[in-house]
Amino acid sequence: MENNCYKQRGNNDKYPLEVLTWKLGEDVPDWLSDLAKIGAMDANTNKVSLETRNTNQGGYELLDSSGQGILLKTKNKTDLICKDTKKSAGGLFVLSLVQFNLIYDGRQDN
Amino acid sequence: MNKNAVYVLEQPKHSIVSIVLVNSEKLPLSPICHKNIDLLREFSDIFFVFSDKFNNREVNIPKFSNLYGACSYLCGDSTRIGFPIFTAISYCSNVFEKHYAYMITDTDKLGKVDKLEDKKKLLQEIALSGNDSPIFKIDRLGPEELGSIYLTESYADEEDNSEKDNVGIISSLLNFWKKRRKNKEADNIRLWSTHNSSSPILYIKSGTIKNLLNDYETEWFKDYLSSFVEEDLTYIFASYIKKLGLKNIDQSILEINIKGFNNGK
Repeated sequence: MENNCYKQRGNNDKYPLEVLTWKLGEDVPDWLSDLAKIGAMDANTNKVSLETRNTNQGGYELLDSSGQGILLKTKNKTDLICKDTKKSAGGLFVLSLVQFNLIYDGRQDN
Repeated sequence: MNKNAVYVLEQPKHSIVSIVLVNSEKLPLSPICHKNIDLLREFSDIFFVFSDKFNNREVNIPKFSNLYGACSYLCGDSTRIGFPIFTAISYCSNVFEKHYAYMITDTDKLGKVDKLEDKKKLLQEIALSGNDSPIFKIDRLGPEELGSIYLTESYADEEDNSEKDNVGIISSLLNFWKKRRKNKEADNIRLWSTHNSSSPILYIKSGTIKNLLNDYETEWFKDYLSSFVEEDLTYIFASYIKKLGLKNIDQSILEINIKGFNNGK
């Protein structure tokens, strides 16, 4: 599955220089489906969907692959799950679209 | 260095951020401005903002920012300084998420402030107080200044005179279209410039900053920012605070008394 890679616009060493992103509703990339609990798989297309749990604050949680723990928690449904391209394992974090567009170049969806 | 991109030299460590537009006509900075920036650095994180005009001069922006101990800097891609200033504000509010209070000023004004040291404690105390109102003396523009805005002939006319040599239908149509476009752009200039301030520093709390950022990504707000052509931030903020109907403390932060800001005690 092809993913776009986004680079920092400027520089902030608290964040990775390069990230991959995923937003709810988009095709699930391998780097995420390897770590998160899969809810369903389409037999024809092999596309997977992740198991999500809504939070009271308007966001959602992704469960880890065992289904026992929380992998990530977002504040909004539109938040982006980001992955540091330099880390083979882990390196996941959440950014809102506003935060993402201030730090990284490329993604303009609102 | 990318334009309109924030470069973080060190993560913020104070509860106040000073966003400083570098707009001095001459460098190096005046001794008073130099001293005031050093003073601000003692109790606030400094975020330098440079306009595109500044970048054309022979100044090493990363070095300048490092030497003055800034936490971050950014250089805008236009001379309309409202854009990089609001990018800086949005970055502090949405990415740093650390500051209780914002001080917005420029090097030109900092070069004329001589009482800042006496106010150091007050500035820190207000950041922790329950006060949410922007501290900024706001004045309505007088009839003369408003007249200079609405009576100004569009700059399009001057430029069009230089094009009068063009002949032919296509040239005429092209000139007509250009004139319409220029007039439309000219119509926007200073359209929302209703107020100004004599305060050298805008002091504003983080809760109110969120109000200022509500329209940040809208087309209307882009129009608003692009309408301010002067390199003076006070027009942008004074007019916007009034437009939003925010209640402000109508005094300069340098003249304000500590009484009443210590959590109401």
